[in-house]
Amino acid sequence: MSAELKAINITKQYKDTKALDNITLSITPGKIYGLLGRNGAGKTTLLSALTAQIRITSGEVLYGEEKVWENENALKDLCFSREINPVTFMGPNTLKVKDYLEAASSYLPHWDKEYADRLIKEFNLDPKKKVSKLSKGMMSMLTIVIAMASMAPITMLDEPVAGLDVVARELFYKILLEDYTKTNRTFIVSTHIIEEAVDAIEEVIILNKGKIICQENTVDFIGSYQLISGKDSVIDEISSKFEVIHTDTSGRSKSICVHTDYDSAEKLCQGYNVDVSPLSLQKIFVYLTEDNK
Amino acid sequence: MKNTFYFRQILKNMGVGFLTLIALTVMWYMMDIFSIKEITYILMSFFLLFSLITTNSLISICTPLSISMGSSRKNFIKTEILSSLAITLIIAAISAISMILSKQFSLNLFIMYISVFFGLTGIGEFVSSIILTSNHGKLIFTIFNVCAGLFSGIAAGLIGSFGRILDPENNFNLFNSISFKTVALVILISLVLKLLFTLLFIIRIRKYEYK
Repeated sequence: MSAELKAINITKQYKDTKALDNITLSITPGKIYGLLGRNGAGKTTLLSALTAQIRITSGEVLYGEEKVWENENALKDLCFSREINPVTFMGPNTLKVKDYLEAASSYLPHWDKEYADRLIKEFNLDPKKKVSKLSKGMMSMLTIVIAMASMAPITMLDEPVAGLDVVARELFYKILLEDYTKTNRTFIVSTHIIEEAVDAIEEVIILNKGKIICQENTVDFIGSYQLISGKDSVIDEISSKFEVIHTDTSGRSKSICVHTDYDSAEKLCQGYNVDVSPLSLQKIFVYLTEDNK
Repeated sequence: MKNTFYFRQILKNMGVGFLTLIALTVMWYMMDIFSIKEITYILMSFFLLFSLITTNSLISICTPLSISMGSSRKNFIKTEILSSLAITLIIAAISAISMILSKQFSLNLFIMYISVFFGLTGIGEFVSSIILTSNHGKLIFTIFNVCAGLFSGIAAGLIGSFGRILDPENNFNLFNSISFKTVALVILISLVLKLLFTLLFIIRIRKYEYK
């Protein structure tokens, strides 16, 4: 049975760089989490820290009431299927696909071999091929197979759709949702292709420069940002009423992204000739994580 | 269950090496290059290569794999230490069989050989822990394996010649004349080496982070 996974004030320092900066996070069972962040935001570091694959500089990670570090009892319920690095000469790269799956079946206690075989067929992977000889997309497919067949109560996937074509990406989300409906286990999926993931993600976690800037229900989060557009003079007049997170100017038109719900925005904009419209998750993400923030 | 993959890898890894050596041995014997006793000397020195390369390769492959799949470092270290014992026992059995087959068995040679082999697994462990934690892991891995190959080749050549020069009668009993003190010293040095390098290996692997 799955328990809550908690990160309490965790920091990971690499020489001069703080990869994770005092992060507190709670992963409750039975949800699909989307971990979003720009390149180098700390997504892989965070997932590695949650699964004790790296040491944290300070803070602690708990699974239920137990510490995760060096605790096999907690680790058996966690699976972090990481992106395979094609240039590394150690680990999975030295094995054939079938040997990698065999390793997974030895190490992961909840492993479902039949499920793994079915996924291997669905993704058309050649079990006799060496992992290092697979294309980027096929490496991603293999990490998906490992994650899904691990049947771990908390399963984490690092960029599972990287390098996948659109058909394979759709197949991944179909498999993810089918599995989730059937098992109700917890998934944390880190991705850059936000719009495709948005329908699957129940809760969104945004990481920026090693800090969590949001952890919220996806629908509530999207609903809490609006785009207001109109003439620049009108927008300038009303902008003081809102928490503006982004401004765009095009000729004499201006639009602002504001942090408020739709009804409040409509109410505050009454009497002004402006348009209030919802924003996509991707746009909100871009505005929140752009460099001038 | 977690350890089975590691043990299967050992057998696979050593199996390939053994098959190659058996093929070489048959070839040498058929071509009348070495006598069966000289071949035993040479094989035993080649086996030393296993202590270095097998330990090193297995740790380099299995540490990232096991840590990324939820094994604790403590469990991995335990498995690895048991494995080095298992490899030593396999080699002990094979070298004893080789000696018996060549119709000479020297207890002194056997004991010294096995303790040196065991000591060398410690070096394999230590080097692999450096490979895993260093930024130049691939380079160190290549250099180490080439050096281990050379070392083993030179050792095989030396031991082969040594067998011919010092043991012209092809009689392993030569080793039985070695004093107990010398045997004890070799055992002691090997065990200290093993202990020291395994300790360094444990310290480094306990801090291992997946890269």
